[in-house]
Amino acid sequence: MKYLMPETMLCTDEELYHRIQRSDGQALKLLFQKYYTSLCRFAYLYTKSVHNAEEAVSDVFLNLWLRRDAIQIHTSLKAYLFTAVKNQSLNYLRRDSYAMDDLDAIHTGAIASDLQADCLVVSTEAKNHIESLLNLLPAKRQMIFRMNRIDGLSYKEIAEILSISVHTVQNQMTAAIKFLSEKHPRRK
Amino acid sequence: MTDEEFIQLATKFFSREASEDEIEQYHFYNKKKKYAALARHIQSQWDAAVKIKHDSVFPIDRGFQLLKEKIRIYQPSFEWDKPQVERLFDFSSKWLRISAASAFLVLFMASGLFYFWYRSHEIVWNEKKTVMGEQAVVSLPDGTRITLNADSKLTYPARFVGQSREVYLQGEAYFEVQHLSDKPFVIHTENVSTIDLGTRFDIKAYPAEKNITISLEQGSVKVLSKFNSAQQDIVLQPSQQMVYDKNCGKSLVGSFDSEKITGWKNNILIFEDEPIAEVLRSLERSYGVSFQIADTSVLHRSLRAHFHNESLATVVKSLEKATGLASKTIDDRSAHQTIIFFERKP
Repeated sequence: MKYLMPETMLCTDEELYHRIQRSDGQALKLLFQKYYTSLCRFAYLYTKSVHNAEEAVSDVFLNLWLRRDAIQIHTSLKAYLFTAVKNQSLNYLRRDSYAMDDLDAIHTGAIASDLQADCLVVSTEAKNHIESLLNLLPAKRQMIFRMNRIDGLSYKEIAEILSISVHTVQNQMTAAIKFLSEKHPRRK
Repeated sequence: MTDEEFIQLATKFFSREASEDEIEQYHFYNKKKKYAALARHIQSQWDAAVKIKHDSVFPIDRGFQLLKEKIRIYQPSFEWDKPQVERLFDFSSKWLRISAASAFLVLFMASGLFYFWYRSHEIVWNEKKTVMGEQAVVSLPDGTRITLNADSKLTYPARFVGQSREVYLQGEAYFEVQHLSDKPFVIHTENVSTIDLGTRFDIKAYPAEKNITISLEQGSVKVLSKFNSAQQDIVLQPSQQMVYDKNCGKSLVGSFDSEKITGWKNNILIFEDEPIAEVLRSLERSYGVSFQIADTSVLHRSLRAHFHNESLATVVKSLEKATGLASKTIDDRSAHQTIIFFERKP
């Protein structure tokens, strides 16, 4: 599968956002592609459901598209996306917990237990060594590492998105790096 | 400096969070033999990690599809590479925003007056009713198509006026709503109202049954409870179903099997472990007959059956098999057929 079109790499977020504001659908697609996996994984931390994570992420981009005239972004575009996905995920969580609250009140055979088996399957044939290593990290630590390394968010942005201190982000990053460097086969 | 401290420094350095002093410090220790190897390991892991981009749990193609479908609810002709219609006004200008806002205010007041004027003109209501064993299709002037199941009633205005399009349903119907973002389509049933957000869905609300079921195939709908305003509105996503219990006023959201729910339009009836009492009620409606059963204990047993466009005779035969009862059909011409199930004499 081909994932990274060169254009994604060439355009900065700001350029893409300006194109989106000028109603350029292709720019929306590129931005979506750029952050899709990270945002879905991030949403999954909250929703614990693959389906709802995908819904939350697409909702955020739908909103970005429909309100492209009105949305004012004060931080970076990616920080905005992560924050919006978090909020939307929490909405889904609230909605579901509300709907599932009264599970016992209704007897119905019509409804299957849940939308899908909600487990984030870790691929057994991880594309490479590092990926399988990363999957061993605690979910939140792994997410913080990905947000910084792969999506280029600063510690401060990550801290704001997750409502934790910059210090905690730094500790989590160090712990992740320590783990990865220990697992790396050292050449003598 | 311990290894631990060096890792902390390196982490800051690689994630571009190091201050100038720290960068200098890193380069200083990096030159020392003791740390050089460790620094190399960290760097190689750091470099390797950037390759991780996509995974099979969240395939990007599915993401594209989902987003496109959502946008198309609002912009039916949306394509990624199609130029969008340029907007006439640039609302980023402050003065334009203010003047637009005041224009809207005037428009809002005017439409309010217009609304009251219009309310004094009476709305003509149409009614479409189906009897047992009958189905009907209602096409509304806005392009919405409603397929009415047996023993159901739809009340709708001869033409839609006002801010919304509102209809009333008793029984079951399948809706293919022509979405108009400025004129929501609302279906009122006994206890809940369903607001279309661009959609195909099924509503089942028979007065005799204890549940109201709303099953969404495509698009999005919002469901409001009429009596319990404290209850949050529920927005259904495609292939989600909401079951509302009229007795306790509570609802549950889950998934559903599309063929089972909307199969009735094509005379497909699917029962998966349902109480025989409910199966019979559903068959009565679809075939326009009445069932009588001598031994009521059978009614609580559950039944699994698929009827694809079967004749009444075949259906009755399979019911005989499932219950172990014999049957007799009484056709008194004046009303519909009655089928009586009774115990087989040994």
